[in-house]
Amino acid sequence: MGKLLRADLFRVFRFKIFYVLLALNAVVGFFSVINELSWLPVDPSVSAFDVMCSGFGGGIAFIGILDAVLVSIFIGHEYGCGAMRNKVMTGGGRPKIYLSELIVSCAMCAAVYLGFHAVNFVFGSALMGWGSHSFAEVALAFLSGLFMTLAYSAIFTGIAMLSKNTIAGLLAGILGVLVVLFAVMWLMGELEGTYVYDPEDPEGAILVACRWPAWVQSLVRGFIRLIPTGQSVLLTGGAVQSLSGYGALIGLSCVWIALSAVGGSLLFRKIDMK
Amino acid sequence: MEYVLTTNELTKTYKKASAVDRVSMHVARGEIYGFVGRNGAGKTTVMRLICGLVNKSGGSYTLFGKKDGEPGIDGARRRVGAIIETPSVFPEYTAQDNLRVRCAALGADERKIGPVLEYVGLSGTGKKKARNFSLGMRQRLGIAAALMGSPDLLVLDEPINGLDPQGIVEVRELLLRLNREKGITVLISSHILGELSKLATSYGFIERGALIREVSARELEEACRKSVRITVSDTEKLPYILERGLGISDFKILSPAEADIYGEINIGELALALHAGGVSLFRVREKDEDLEGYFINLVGGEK
Repeated sequence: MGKLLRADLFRVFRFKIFYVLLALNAVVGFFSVINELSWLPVDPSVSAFDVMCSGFGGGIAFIGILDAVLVSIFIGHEYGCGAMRNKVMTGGGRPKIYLSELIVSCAMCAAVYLGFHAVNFVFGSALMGWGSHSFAEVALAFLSGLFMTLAYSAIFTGIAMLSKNTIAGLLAGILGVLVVLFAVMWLMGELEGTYVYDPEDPEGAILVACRWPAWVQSLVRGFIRLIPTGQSVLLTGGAVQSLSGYGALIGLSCVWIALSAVGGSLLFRKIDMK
Repeated sequence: MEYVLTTNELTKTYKKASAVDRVSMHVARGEIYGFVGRNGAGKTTVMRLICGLVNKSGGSYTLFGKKDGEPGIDGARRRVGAIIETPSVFPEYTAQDNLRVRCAALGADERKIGPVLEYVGLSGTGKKKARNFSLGMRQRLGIAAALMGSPDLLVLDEPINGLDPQGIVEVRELLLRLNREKGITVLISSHILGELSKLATSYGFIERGALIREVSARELEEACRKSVRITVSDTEKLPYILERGLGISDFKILSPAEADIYGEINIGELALALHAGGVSLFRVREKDEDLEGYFINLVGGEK
């Protein structure tokens, strides 16, 4: 597998889209720092931690979209020019080929993720500090976001390797992220309850709690925590209240990575390639 | 005879149709095996099967002594270089970079890149990206990439499709050099039967997924030899008439009523000699087949 990794890394370092998205996310990080800094006079509690939270997706699962683009094009292009076919024909071994692609895709996505946070760690830390957030909280939040990114990468690697096509992988990835994002937003809205008009107080409103059974609410909360887009929304919104909560998100992300590594490589063995 | 590749009742079925139907073929070491068949006959599918690109529905194949599904099959595949349908080339890379990726994947020495590019006639491409190569250049780059692993078997699916006459000659000469100088076995499919006949040392004919026949080049030459087929009243006296009367010794009695006479003959003299010998001549047909004619007769259909 070392040889396959070398070949894939050779391509990564010549993959222009990787550098573009890395730079893009770094620029987004820089402007996020500037944006938060502008709130400092109004809200002194603003800190680099808030910038970090926006780097988990910014409410639009941005990192998920970046990962979908990166992985789909990297793997899809390899299919398109027949290089994937070559790897199989020359005895690369399908599980090893899949795992090599997974590792390299994860590395690229992690680098893009780090592009944002490196800028924040340098500029955000210096200009705003971390407020009342402890080192443990910052570290775990950062790691949660990293593993969420790796989970995205694992999912998109599976989609790209099995769809064998750049466009199909892109569409499935980007549309999938957006559709799931809307679904998560809707579910979270439902779980929080709705405000209705209070007839006795024309300027007031009454909160009507979610009417779903408790077990359904637990299931939905678990679902939101399980999927990377759900994690993105939770992390961006600062909805994770405890260190163990971050730990749970990391564990759930690892499930996706393991699923892709094992299940994806098994399925890849079965597909026919043209 | 040592075989680098054998297939045993190899089958591939899509839904209910057999794309490859119990193909049993034998590719001997050092030969150039021409795989002949119409569009959709199953040539590419057979090649995909043996290269591990598609999963078989039945049967088996053995590559360098390793059966498919055995643990050593990936090791055997490392001895194969293949081009299936189109050469695998990164269009945004130069020829050198394309081969560097290949070297990295194979664990091959990058110092081989220069000599290989020179061997295939691409040493002067410099910084030219592969997207700007002609089709012939891309084919040669594909062959170069296939050679990076020092293969013992080259599997080439229609490598001269779309090439101009110059490109066809270049690829043909390259393959002949590889076979003669490096002893590389070649499995090649092509529609351009005339070109294949200049290359192959043995042939496999496939039609509707089934391998109809395997012949050596010599057997094919024998079968395609120019001859006259005569239908007569009785072939018993024919050897005496032909040998003593006309001095013809190269002939073959096919049945009590038919015989093939090879080489140039004077039909008038033949008819007179047969009549004098008491043999009635009913029919004369001339046969002068090339590979194309042989193939068409084999699979049926009109020229």
